[in-house]
Amino acid sequence: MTVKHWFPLALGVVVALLIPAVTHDNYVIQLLNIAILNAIVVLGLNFATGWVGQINFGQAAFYGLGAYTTGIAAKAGLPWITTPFLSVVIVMAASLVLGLPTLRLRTYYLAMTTIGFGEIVRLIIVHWEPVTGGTSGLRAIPGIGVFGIGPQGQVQHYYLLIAVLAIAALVAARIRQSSLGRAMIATKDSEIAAEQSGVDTTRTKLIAFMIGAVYAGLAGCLYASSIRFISPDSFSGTQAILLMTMLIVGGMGSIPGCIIGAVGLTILPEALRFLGQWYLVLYGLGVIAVIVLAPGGLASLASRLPRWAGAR
Amino acid sequence: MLKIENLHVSYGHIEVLKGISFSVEMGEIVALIGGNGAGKTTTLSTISGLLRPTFGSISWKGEAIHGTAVETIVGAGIAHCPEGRRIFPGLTVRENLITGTASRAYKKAEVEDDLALVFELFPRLKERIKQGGWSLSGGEQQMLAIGRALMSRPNLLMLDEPSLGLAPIVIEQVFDKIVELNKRTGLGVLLVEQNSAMALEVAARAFVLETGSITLSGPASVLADDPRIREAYLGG
Ligand SMILES: Nc1ncnc2c1ncn2[C@@H]1O[C@H](COP(=O)(O)OP(=O)(O)OP(=O)(O)O)[C@@H](O)[C@H]1O
Ligand SMILES: [Mg+2]
Repeated sequence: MTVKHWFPLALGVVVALLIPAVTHDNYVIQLLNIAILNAIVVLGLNFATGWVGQINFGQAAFYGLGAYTTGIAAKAGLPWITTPFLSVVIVMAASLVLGLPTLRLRTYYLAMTTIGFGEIVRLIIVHWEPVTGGTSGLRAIPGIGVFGIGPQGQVQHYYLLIAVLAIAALVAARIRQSSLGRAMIATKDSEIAAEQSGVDTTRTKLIAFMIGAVYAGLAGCLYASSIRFISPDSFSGTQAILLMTMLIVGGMGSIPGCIIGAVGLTILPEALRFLGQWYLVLYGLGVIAVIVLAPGGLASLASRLPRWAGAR
Repeated sequence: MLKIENLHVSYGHIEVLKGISFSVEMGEIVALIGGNGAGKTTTLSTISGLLRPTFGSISWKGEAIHGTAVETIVGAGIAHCPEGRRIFPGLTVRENLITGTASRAYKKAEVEDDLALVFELFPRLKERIKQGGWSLSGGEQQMLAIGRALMSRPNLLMLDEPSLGLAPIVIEQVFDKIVELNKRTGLGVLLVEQNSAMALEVAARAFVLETGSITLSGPASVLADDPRIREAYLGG
């Protein structure tokens, strides 16, 4: 870790911790909470997509599976502490069943199967109304609590989610530094050369995909029990594309990039709300501008900053 | 140690290897020479498991390995340094090299030992240890690819055109080091080279491959004097 690394990191942490002191608007904090949850999901997406190079449109569905598992379990009266485990078990099983047959094949099979999977999950949520609440969703989901202790109010949730995001980012960084992380990058760079170096690329792709699903499942669990209202819209195919956009705009393969992209693109539509329908135009132009002007994403711009500063 | 018998390989309907047989003994350096499109790369790719033979067999230490997964073959001790480098641009030099150990569970100290060996072979890589693979020059990438192949501690190293893109003096060093490794550790080498003169100099035996068949074979020193070889591959 050099100055180049820890300075932006420290700055980010300080800003994140100070935000609730600056604004007391519950609406703003709730929006940030969703942004943080999205960042965890995008960090998960980064494993299979940013590091292994597999296109994955199933991340919103895993997010939804985690959220609905928790929502349904908690409303059925199960203690909160069981819900993260349930959500993880469900998304792991789903990602294993989906990944095992498709990831052995090269090219874009995963993209196609995950689109189909997302649609299946959405249809189940919409049509299994007695359990999932259908299009109107689930309301009044019991909140986070372990032995009666849990965060109260938006701000406490905010701090909890920031802590979870920090752990998620650290775990991702550790994995990137491990032999598994090297195998992921090697698989993306050249599947053949990776195999010739002894990397089991099928296993690497499957593990990356499953870790990503676990991130999404846990974020879904926290979504259901901190926002306490879920509906199919939050986990739709559009959301899957949005998550992919966050990854691209933030910077594929970059942990800070995932967070910047997710937070930026979650907040931006709200900030542009005064434009009415026109916000999509500006939003689209903004995304295109980033892709054209900074192909490495916003994170690649940020990493250039210290160099400019150092040159002076 | 490596025994290839009546090997046939096709791309679609086009048969590229038409029944070749040869072997590489323990600790031997064998050169495979031949013109463009003769099937040299195809031969190596089939041995390392990237291609499946349509007929024939490949055995390694007495066991058939055709049909085995690529990464299993590396683990069994055959490393393939592919034609045209194929390093990992997204990993640093050090990470590229360590990825070469992926086929086995290595202890940290062993990895450091092997890294030291590679850096002794290519001091230039040590200077670039933290740089991204994408930033290396062509020659440096070639060194990295060879180094990565060595990191798997192979018993047999298959090199496909290792001299490609390297300066003559570096080629000489690389070949010296290969011979040295061969002498010191008994590393077997299957060498594919356009630079036939150099290949015949370091190899004990050689085979000439022409459009999918072996047309000549024998001790390298004898082939180096063969008028047909001199004319076709050594420039008269
Ligand atoms: N993927 C492929 N699909 C179809 N044909 C191929 C493929 N790869 C190689 N070939 C053909 O197989 C033949 C042998 O190719 P190979 O790469 O083994 O030659 P080589 O001896 O390594 O040549 P060079 O010295 O030019 O590298 C060539 O005629 C080539 O066109
Ligand atoms: Mg070739």
